[in-house]
Amino acid sequence: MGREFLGGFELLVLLALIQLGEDAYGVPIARAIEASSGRPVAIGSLYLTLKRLEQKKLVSSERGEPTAERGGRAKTYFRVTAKGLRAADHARRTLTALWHGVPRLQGEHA
Amino acid sequence: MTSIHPPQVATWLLRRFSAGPHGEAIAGDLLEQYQSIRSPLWYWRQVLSAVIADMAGSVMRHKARTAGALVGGWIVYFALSFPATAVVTSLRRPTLRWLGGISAEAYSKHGGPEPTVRLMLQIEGSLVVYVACLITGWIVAKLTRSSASVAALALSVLVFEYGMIAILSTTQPWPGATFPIESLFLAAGRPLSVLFGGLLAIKEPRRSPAVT
Repeated sequence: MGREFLGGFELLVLLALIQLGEDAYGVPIARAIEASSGRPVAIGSLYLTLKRLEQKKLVSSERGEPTAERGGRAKTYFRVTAKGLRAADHARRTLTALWHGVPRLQGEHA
Repeated sequence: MTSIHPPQVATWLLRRFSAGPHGEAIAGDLLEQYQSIRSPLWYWRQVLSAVIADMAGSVMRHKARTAGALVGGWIVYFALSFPATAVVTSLRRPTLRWLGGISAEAYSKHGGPEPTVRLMLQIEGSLVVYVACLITGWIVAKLTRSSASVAALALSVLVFEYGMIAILSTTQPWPGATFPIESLFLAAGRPLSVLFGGLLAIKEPRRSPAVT
């Protein structure tokens, strides 16, 4: 079976999910990506990506309890599946191998 | 001071148009973030991007359903244009009489009515067409049960209407040699009516019971 390539944002979401563990729902996922990339994350785009990762079976979701601070709306918790972990590891190895082949970037200090 | 409650219209839009499996979670996440950000502009931007992302995703996942909604919607739209034209024609004579004793004969003899009368006729005709658009949106929503399909149809109506205005404005001289700017506003009502008809047909998604 051929491996699926992860898109740039898909990989960021997957890594944020791994980092957050049990507490991975929309808001902390968005904050984790914003903190590391320095760019704002639109919740709509985040959920679109999460839905796509779910369809690829790289992520699973579970509905939490509704809370008052969210106007009685339930959270949806996301977790990386075993297939998702393998995909992230594969992406890491691919990127590392490719970076090794890249000459030092102009202006970069040793 | 900015309210802790986000703009209600935006929340309503989100509830009606972002009905995917994670619709409730998106609404909750935005509300949670709004408590610290408290910027209505930020909230509107997030809502619009969530709605557009959800709809684009839905259209991409259900291409056949969207294509069916577009074809079916346009068939209904054109089919309804015949009774709509008949209604507009039958209303013209009494409307002209009501607007100032102008007979339909005088209207045609002088090549067109006064600008104000022309605008009133245009508004009257547009209202009839809006009803036809509303029915079209309602039928498509009932058949597809998808707000994304209705939105795709509304978008195609918008492109068609403004495309027609653009083509006509370059090929035909307008009466009075000035472009009737009101046409631009009245044309916008057609896709909006399609959307509104769709909203009337699709029930609001159920929410989990509120927590106090």
